[in-house]
Amino acid sequence: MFPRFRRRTRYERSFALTLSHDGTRWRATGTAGCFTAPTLREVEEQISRALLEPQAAVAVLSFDVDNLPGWMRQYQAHYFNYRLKPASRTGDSA
Amino acid sequence: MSRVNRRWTSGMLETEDWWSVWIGLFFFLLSLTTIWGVDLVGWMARPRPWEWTDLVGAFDSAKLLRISGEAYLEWHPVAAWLVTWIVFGTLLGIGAWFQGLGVRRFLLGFSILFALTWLAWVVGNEMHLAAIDAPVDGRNRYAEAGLAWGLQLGDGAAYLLALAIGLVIGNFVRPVAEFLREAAKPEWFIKTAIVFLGIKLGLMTVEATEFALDLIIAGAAATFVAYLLFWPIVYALARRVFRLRRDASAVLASGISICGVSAAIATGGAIRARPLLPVTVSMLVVIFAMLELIVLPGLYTAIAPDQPIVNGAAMGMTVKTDGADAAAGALLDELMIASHLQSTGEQWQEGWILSAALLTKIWIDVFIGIWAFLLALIWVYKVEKREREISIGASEIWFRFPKFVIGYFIAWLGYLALAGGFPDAAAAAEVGAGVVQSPMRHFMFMLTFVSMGVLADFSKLKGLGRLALLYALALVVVIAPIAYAVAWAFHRGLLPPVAATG
Repeated sequence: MFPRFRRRTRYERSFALTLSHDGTRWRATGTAGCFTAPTLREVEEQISRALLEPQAAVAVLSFDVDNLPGWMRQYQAHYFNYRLKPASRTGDSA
Repeated sequence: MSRVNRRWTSGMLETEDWWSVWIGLFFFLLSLTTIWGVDLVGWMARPRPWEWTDLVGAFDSAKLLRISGEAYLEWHPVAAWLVTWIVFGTLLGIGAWFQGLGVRRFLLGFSILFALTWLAWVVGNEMHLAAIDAPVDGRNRYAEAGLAWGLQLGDGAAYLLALAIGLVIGNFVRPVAEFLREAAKPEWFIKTAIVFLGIKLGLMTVEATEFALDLIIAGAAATFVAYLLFWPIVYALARRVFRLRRDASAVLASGISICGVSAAIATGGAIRARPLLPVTVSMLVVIFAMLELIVLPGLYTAIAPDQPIVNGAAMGMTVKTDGADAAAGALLDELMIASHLQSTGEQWQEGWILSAALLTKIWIDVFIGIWAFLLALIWVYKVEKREREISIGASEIWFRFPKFVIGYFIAWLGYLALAGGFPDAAAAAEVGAGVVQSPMRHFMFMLTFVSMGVLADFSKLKGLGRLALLYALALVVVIAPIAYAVAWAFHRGLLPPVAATG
């Protein structure tokens, strides 16, 4: 009776990954795998190579709030989330 | 176990911010039952002014404590005090359980904090500390008690004592402070108190609508100062004079100039910095906020005793973190009312100076999500130039929105709507609302003072030399003078309504 709208995206698959930082290295984990490196840029490159480029997918990265010190979470209980698309270029500044 | 914010409902049961809304509104709803003649909040205990020689002569706990509601006057005050402990302990304990805190340790810590809070509150009501030598509504309690001397601090005495107790534990009895850390949640306590304050603002707005609107508009204007003036100046100072990295400068500028720890975390997240950066800045913010809380209320009272609203608004722009700002505002409120009463015999209505400090701060808080979102876009588009790889969702604004503000506005506007639509019901509701917005709110403020002191360990300043220097410089040279000038421009000459005269 009514037309059904469906939001079309360029990327049909998406992977949810949880981010954390252990003081020296970033870590992105999810059912699709675990990626770790000293800089976030390197983690993103690993994700892009392993998941996004081969499958034309996006990754939804969400920072694990429990990774912030307990006394700080009462001030702000969110760090950041973002979507990572396949890298189309490299060499950006870190 | 990890916790991420993916849905708009994320955190509704797991964050202290949301729990301040639930507990604040729960008591607001309970207070409304007095419309139907049922008082469900009158059991709240409160301290009574007392004089030590009188107590030594014949000790009676009823000389120290009293009950808030007439429906409970048959209770023994100590029973009311125990019920206060049980009710608040239970509600906060439930909140702690949902937040994933250790409930047993939380409840033990809370019980100790509760006892310390009441110790400070009761002692702070001793007449040599609190009574003011001036007639109010035809009675001079100071003279009636025959006092030979008195500090005449009003309710500020209890706040100062609570802070002192917390600071002694936080800096000299560190094992105890470490144990209490699980329960010492000043932001949770103060946000709950701010929701209670929404009820008071509703009551006050009914009585002085124009004044309340003026405060709101001026508070909104102050927001532009914080974001558009403070931030660029402090950022430039950090980059050019202190040669800090771009990310460190951004996080530090937000922490110093916007709303303290929450701004530092939001900015760190916006630029996807290592968490260590906002953690370091947050440690600085908490310690400096404590120093501001100790210094500024007394300083402003001394240098501008005839500018209460200017002082309150300047406090809101200068003191970072909601807890420290609200605490400083409450202390300023008490000290200025006491000072004005002493010098003129006129008593200002309680709460307006605090509201000036808080409304300014709340406006600043509300926009932190939008600010962080814009900063994230600037970072991706202009600094990292990675717009083709990274996209930031507008949901980030919601995740960073301070949720206690929702409770504050619901309580405020709810009470205002009740007063506008059903004046008779509002008059009946005042019985319960009076308990929530006065003794319960004061209790949560007192709990905040003790908790903030417990968490403020000044030894953490060691090793933060250059950052601490930048913070101090920015605060003294940039933030405080500009904040005062802006507050002066918007509020000079504004005075709170008079509650009583001699």
